[in-house]
Amino acid sequence: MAQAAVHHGEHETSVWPLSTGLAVLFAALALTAHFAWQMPLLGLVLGGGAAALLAVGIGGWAREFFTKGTEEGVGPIAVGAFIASEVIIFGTMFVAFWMGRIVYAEQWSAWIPSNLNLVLALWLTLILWASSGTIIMAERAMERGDRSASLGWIGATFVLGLLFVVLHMNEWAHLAAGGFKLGSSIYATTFYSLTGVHTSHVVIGLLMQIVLFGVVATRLMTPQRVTFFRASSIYWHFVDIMWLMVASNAYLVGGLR
Amino acid sequence: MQEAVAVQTPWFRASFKEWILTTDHKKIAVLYAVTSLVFFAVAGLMGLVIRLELTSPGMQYVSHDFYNYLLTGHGAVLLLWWAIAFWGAFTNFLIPLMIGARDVAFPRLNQLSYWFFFSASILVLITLIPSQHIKMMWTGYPPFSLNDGAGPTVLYVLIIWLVAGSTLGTGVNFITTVLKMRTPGVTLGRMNLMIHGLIGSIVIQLLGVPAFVGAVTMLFLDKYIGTGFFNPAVGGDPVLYQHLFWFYSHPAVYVMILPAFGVFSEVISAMSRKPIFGQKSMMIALWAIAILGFEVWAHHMFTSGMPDWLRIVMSYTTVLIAVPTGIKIFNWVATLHKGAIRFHTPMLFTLGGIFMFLIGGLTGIPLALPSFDIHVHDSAFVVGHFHYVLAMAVTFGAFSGAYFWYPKVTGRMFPEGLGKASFWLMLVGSNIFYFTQMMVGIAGMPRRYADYPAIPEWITLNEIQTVGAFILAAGVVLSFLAWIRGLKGPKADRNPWGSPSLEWTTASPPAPHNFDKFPVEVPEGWSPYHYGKRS
Amino acid sequence: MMETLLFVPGWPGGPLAWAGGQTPVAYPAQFWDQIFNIWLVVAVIIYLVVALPMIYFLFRYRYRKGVNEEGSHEEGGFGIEILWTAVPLIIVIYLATQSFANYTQQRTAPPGALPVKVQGMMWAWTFEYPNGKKAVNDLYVPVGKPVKLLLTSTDVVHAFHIPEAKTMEDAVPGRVTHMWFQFNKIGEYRGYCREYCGTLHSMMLATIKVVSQDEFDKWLQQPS
Ligand code: HEA
Ligand code: HEA
Ligand code: CUA
Ligand SMILES: [Cu+2]
Repeated sequence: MAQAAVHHGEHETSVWPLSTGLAVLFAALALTAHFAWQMPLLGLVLGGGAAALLAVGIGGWAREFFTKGTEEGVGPIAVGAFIASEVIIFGTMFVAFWMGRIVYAEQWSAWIPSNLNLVLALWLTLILWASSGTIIMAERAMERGDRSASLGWIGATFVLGLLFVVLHMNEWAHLAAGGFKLGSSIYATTFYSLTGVHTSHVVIGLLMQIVLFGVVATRLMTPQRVTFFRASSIYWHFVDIMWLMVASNAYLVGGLR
Repeated sequence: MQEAVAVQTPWFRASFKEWILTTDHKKIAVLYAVTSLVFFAVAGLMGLVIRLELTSPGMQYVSHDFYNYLLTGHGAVLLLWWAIAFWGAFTNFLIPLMIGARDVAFPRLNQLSYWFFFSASILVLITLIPSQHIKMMWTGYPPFSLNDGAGPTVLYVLIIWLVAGSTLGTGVNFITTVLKMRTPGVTLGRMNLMIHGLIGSIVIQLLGVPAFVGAVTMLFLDKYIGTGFFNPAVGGDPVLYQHLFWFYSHPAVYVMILPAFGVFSEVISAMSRKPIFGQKSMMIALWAIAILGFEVWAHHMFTSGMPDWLRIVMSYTTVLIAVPTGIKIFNWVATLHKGAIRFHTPMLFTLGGIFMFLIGGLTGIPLALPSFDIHVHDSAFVVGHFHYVLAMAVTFGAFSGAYFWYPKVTGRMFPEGLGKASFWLMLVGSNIFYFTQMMVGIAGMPRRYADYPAIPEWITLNEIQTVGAFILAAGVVLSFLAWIRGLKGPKADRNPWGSPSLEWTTASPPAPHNFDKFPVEVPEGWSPYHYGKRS
Repeated sequence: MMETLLFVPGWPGGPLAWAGGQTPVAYPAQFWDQIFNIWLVVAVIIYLVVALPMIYFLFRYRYRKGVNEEGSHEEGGFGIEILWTAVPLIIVIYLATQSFANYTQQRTAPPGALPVKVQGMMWAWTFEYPNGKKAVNDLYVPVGKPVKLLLTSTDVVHAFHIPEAKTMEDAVPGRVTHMWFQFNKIGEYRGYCREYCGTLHSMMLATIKVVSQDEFDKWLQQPS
């Protein structure tokens, strides 16, 4: 049983969750300041504080986990449960998309922007899939104990992910300039929401990769303790698969006249 | 030796620093419980103000806008901070003890989940500031919630986001804990029904809360970023929000009641000194409720303008829930048969809870019939229905659980007399209050009305309600007193109720690492309900 | 088939005559009254079936020192559990089907109903008649004639409820929903907003003025 080996009283207390939790509180107050109190400056200060606390919290947490904590190997179950709930979040956006698509079937084609770029969607897909491959290579290298190769592959994954985000933001700007604005139709609303929610998940994946790079580079992670690696890579595959769903709906089903 | 020392320091000797940095599931449980009880008192007092205002027509004590704020706060806080979060305390305290584990799978994540909840609590306190009142009701339907008259929408959205963050963190943590950290001998089929109730609600939350998060995210985007999800002019639809909202918020009512079912099962079995009748079918029924709960959401929308066929389908799926629920009720009754029933305070609350759930459930059935709902939707009848199930069944369940495990948590015995007096006041007050609330609903009184026309029948019924509410409030106060007084009460031993369930085999209060020896051993053929003489 | 199994009030003895005897102040209230009565009987019986044995057991098997200190070790019973699964299943399916039968008639306006367009706004009602005549907060209807309301809203969700007719429907922006009723007695009645719509939700009342057909026709011809 997993628990026989764990929790020998070494972490009765920990400051890192508090730091991360304060980051959450600051971020919430920052949003309130910005949107409800019309105090953008206060929002910025609080937001900056939140980012700093988050960085400290996550960094310290990772360090503590790898130096004092014990490997339990239960990470993938937790990530699986988390992904299940993520799927539902995406589901809500799909429901909105399909409700509009069906109820407004006639008006729909008038809403399709003339500069919708299906080829770019294909490129984006290829980029993300390639990054799924590179993270598998990174994981294998780490399991072998080949630290430098693993770092290289994590770096490659990160660059590909970042490229995806940059290309996509560029595409949004392009579409918006052509008159396809957030609130101009339910197609535009759901198009930007589906792709936007997806991109935010890519960004979370990228942040996980930064942490991963850190713990591998500083030798905190050993080939015997790769649960976090496995969890990040499962999450990244999920983001890739989700892109297939998002792209085929937002671009193909949506763009079909 | 580190552990031998640790055994000597129970949780209430901890310093402030230990409290805010703790990763011990028992201390985190106490944090949840205290936060939850404080907010219960605040929101309960809001309910009393509402009650005073409704005693007679016209506006006597508060303005329309303040009334709407009070009702929004009352509903949202009692649902999220009381009926859901108080069970978070039970989840944290009991699950590791009941499965014989040292702590949860991710102790630090557990602490972070509490901070999410704490942050949400801070935001609720911010809404107390007059300019920050939120007035969109706990349901937050657009387009009204996008209107400036509804108050700062972003606070409502953030409260939901943060609570969701907390539940998701707790959810993945405890699912992993229960799947991976059970001591040998505690199988999924044999473990306590309380754990099934708590995990059932966790699974519902994991699959349901994201729908709510999606819905409020759309609110946020529509209000501040300029999307058109709920704007009919560009092809959006306000009814979409209602579908997403209820896709979670209907199952959410089972998030609240399933743990109460768990408490009823533990207490009724322990106090009758009999195994729970049909443990397997109780377990199956519980999971059936959890699953069926996802197929009935639109019964809150029978008059919302959705297609008629969908109303009929949802009516059939809804009434089916009565079947597994009935199994549970009948099995509890059968558990009493040939028992040796002791009427301690927790047992009184459990019995009261079952009787009242029965009324609440039987008044839910006609609501599920569109032919009936067409007249009482959004009336005080609905309010009466859910106060029976929430403010009585769930709250009695929570109180019963609080009394039942009080000796385990504090190591002391609560004063029985105060507990019993509290029970009788609550039972009598609640019934006077909520029964007349249903009657005035049948007579046509709408809900969420700060003011109402001076119809003599309505006035009388409202006056009776207020009297009941104050009797009930007195009962609640007595329980608070009992719990405070109990902290200085006589020492409790390990197992005051004589139960074979694992949490009773360790010290009261449990040592920081829960058990003296790992892995915790359970006898062959163990069951948490191993009571009674075999004949 | 349906009719023999269910209590269908229907329209025996000509249009809109209630099988139950006296005519309600407004249709389609009779369908609600009927489902209410059926539910009440079913609910009270179920309550007694559960509560009476429970109270008896509580008394009969209470703890008594030296006499009854330990329960018997009884773990379940398959047959009886099947019984209390099957019986409720039948009851609820019957209830839903009965409701289905009633609901169809509560939702379907009789032919020839007078169509009135209703618009909700914060916080008032506008009624528009087929000839273009408009009225604010006062809904004039002829006695003894079915009226079909076509509801929509200009701002947020509202709902129109008529207590005497025991029926309601939401008014949703961007949609047209419908409901119907018929008053059988001349007089003034209230219509309520039943969906929360902000500060003055509780003040969003309409007056339903039920008048004779002649008076109604006269009113309809006056310019608004
Ligand atoms: C703990 C909370 C809880 C629970 C457990 C329930 C349980 C049920 N609820 Fe309730 N409900 C709420 C909380 C809850 N509800 C809330 C908060 C609202 C209002 C939300 C808002 O608008 O703000 C609401 C509103 C609500 C509506 C919408 C009304 C409206 O707005 O117009 C409906 C409609 O179908 C409904 C139905 C039911 C049903 C069928 C059950 C069933 O689960 C009950 C099943 C139980 C029994 C039936 C009794 C035991 C069974 C037997 C003894 C077997 C034999 C029985 C038969 C054969 C009938 N509820
Ligand atoms: C679990 C949920 C729950 C609970 C327990 C309650 C409990 C109570 N509720 Fe309510 N209620 C809701 C959930 C709940 N409610 C919801 C969801 C709504 C719908 C909101 C909406 O429409 O959006 C609602 C709506 C609602 C209305 C309808 C208003 C309207 O539609 O216009 C009313 C009116 O009477 C009311 C009253 C009360 C009262 C008097 C209590 C009482 O039982 C409260 C009793 C408790 C106390 C009074 C606290 C006492 C404690 C202390 C004083 C502390 C003492 C401290 C020490 C000794 C240290 N509630
Ligand atoms: Cu209009 Cu309530
Ligand atoms: Cu429901």
